[in-house]
Amino acid sequence: MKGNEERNRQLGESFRQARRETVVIVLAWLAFLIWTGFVCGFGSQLKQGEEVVTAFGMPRWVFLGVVLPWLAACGFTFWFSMFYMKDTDLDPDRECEANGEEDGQGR
Amino acid sequence: MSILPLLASTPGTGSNSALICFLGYVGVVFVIAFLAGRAGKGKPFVGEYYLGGRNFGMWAFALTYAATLSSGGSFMGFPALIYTHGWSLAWWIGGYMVVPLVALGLFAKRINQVGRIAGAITIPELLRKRFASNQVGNVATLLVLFFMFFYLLAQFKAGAEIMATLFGDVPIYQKAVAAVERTTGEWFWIGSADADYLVCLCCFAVAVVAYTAYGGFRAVVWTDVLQGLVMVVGVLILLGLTLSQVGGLEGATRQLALQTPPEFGKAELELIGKSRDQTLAKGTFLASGDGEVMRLSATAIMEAKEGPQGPFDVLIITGAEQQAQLSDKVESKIVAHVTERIPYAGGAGEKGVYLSAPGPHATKPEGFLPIVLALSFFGFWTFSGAGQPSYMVRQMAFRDTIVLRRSILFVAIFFTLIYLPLIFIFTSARILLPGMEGEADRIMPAMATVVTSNANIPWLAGILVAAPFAAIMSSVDSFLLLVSSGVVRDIYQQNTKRKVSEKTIARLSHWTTISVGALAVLCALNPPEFLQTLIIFASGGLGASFLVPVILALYWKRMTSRAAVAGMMVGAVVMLGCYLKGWSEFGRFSSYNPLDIHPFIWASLANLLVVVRLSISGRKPDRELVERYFGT
Repeated sequence: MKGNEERNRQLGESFRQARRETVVIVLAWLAFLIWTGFVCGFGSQLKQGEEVVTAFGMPRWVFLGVVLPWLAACGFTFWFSMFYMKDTDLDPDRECEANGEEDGQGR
Repeated sequence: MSILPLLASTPGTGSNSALICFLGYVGVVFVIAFLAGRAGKGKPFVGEYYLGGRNFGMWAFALTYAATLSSGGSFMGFPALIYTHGWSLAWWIGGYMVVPLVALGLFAKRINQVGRIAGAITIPELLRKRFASNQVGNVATLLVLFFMFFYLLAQFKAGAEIMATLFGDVPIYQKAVAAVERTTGEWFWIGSADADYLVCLCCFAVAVVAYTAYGGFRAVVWTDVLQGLVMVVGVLILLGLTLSQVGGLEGATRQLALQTPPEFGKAELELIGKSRDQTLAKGTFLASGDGEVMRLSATAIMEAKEGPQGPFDVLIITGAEQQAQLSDKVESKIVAHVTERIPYAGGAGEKGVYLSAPGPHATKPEGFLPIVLALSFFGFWTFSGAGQPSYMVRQMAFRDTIVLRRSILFVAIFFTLIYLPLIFIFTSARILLPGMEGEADRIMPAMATVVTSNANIPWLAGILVAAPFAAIMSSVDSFLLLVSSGVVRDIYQQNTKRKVSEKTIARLSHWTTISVGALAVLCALNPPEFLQTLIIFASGGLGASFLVPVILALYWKRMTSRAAVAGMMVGAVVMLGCYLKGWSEFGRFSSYNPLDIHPFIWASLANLLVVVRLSISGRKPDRELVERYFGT
């Protein structure tokens, strides 16, 4: 029974960590949606006869509203995957079975 | 002269080398699949064939995920849309900036963990075991099979079209086409397909089905690695060649600012001087007496007689710059007289329309991408991508979370190197290849051929065309496997009472893969015209059915099996309903978007409401079941 309790405790902890990561991801998605929507929504409409302003060869609204947040999203993804996301044991039953074998208890 | 025949391979020209280069690539794919099949021999069949033993490292996992996500839509449909609607597509596809983070970060860790605890190798099986309910598994299986089949059709069509474009008038290919035309011309259903398309469809299907059936998931993943690398390299080379030929991105944007949308119309055609009967191919450039340039929208047969004939459907090129650019391609012995013209409903005659949103649209006065639709696509790409069973199943195959963390970053870089360059390339394509709105789905191979010909390196076209072909193959093989796993694992194994041997399962899996491929070929003989429409319907349907139930199954202890079944069905029905209404309203296979919001969003919201409502009002799930998948 002890093996089961330990297994459930570890699984519960990894579940809560995954849930925390999910909240961060959803907030990040929302932030990039707002950034892109705001800049493209206001910047992409062209009035009749209006000159198109470019940045790095593309329409400026594309650079500020798509390319720049895209690069920022890559930066955020780097931080998230390398520093925020925690490593977890993906197979709690295997470890539990191994422990069970060691102390003579099967699950 | 049509631009596409530039692709045609004639003996002694450089385009033969492009074909050899392309066939060499396909050969390498086969060798890899063969080696993968051998590597999997002697291991337990089911886990190996459908999940590769759950032991993939970063390169294999990240590249198979990215390559599968980048389907024929990314390399055929998406470029066609960029070409047709301009820079607004940058906003349309913008959601991909967070797809790796959302699709992998949201699901992968938990789905892999729950999959291992349940011993599941398919998504329906995972749901079945998570809720300890056969009903959940059966509904999930049926929905996967239904929507995934549309996905397969779209990919088969895209693969066949690329081959048809590449093979052009290679003599042996032409002989095969003629023989097929003589044989199948009168056959029911099959005879209604163009012979060249039929030949290419069969070649493509045999190739992909053969290596998938032989090598299973491991072959699919190993070939995906190669295909993913080919995609990135191909796109980056195409970007370099394109920008160097249009005077840089700034030059292309400046020229694009002067372009206005074409007009649809009808024209009577008149032969000049003595002539004989002529067949004018679809896409032939013609000019009116005052120099207005247009393209034939369908093949036209002209009799050797005086006076105007027709009228025939044409696409009229507007804008003095484009007309001047195309004047040397015009069929000089024919004069066209325009009898009817229909301008674009959105953006007609407006310079700069290709540089701004909502972008031009042939039939919608509000343009291609109204603001609300753009916002809903941001959600559509991220969450419908995350909700696809074919991508979810890959998340059960990585070895550990270190692999996952590195893969998220890798896929983010991969998508950046694919999607941003594609936008730059195909907005520039309007400068290099004007007047291709009538066959926009072929813009990718056409661009590959034209830029390599211009750069005097025609053999490189083989590699560039291999990029979209790789994307299609890597998606088709994955979808084939997903559908066959649905049949074998989720239907046959779940419903058979007796114990089935590994050998029987192996034989059944191989034959199911082959049968599904054959059925897809039959249905793909007469597919809908627009590739991207099918892809959006299928991915939207799968996302609408699975995203909410799977994510809540992984993260919400309170969710019940009854709620899962109802949620999946409501998501699918709302999605189908919007397409049926679109069909009845617009007269073609198209979605109806209430309040300009994509039906995927409505379907997912309905799904969420139903799942939450039924779960809260239902009986609490068994404590033992909850502890098994969530711990304490």
